[in-house]
Amino acid sequence: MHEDLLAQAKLLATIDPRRPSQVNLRRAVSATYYAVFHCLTEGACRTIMGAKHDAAGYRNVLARSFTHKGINDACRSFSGGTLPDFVRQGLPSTATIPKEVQTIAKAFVRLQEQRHHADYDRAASFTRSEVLMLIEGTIGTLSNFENLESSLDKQFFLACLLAWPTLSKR
Amino acid sequence: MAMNEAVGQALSLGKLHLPAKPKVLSIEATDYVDHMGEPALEVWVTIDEGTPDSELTGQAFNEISMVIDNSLQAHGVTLFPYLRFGKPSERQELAVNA
Repeated sequence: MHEDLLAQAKLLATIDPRRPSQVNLRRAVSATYYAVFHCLTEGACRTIMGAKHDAAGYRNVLARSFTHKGINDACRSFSGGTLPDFVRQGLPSTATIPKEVQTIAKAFVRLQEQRHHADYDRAASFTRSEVLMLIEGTIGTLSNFENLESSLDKQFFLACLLAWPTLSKR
Repeated sequence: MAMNEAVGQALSLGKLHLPAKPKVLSIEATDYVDHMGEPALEVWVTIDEGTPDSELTGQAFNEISMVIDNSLQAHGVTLFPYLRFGKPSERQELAVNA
């Protein structure tokens, strides 16, 4: 799904031959955000339920349990490169936050902010340059994240996207 | 160091190792409050008016973002930076329509 959303975003951002329509730029920003949202939630659901085809239905139901705020809060922590003490203390000393995780986490927080304005702020406007760069940058960031070798560090990040609202209150 | 001074030093154009393309004309930061109510920074990266679409690459976007993020972090700036990009004419149009 996320590849299709990014393709849609590119189409919307480039569909106007001259002056870009703000409506198209707004929808492009929103589609780009949801590309990352679905990539991360799908990755998290595969971590929890497994990637087998017959688990798809379970993953689809589980995917509805993520919240935008919960993922945002988790990503803010992971994007900084260090985790709060309450999390770090229980992890092995070898635990790290891979660069690709930090990058996608920061991208998510930024995209959510942009998407909030694109979808809800009637006064917001976007430049064509920033939307084009945002889409291309997101394509690269998602690719790097997906190509990151599966590891406990990567799986932990994905699992935290669901668990953070509870974990952060400990 | 006061936060404004730290931000200014972190975003001093002459000291940042930015990619050659697209050409960055200026980087300006202002105080910002995000939709979650958190104090943050809005960082406008103004790129050269003649920048073709072929230079609006993902690699450039991610590289510029990383350089800015790393510099802010190195100067002790903890506010989350939200980046915006635009040519002078695009920014002017946003200002007119605001």
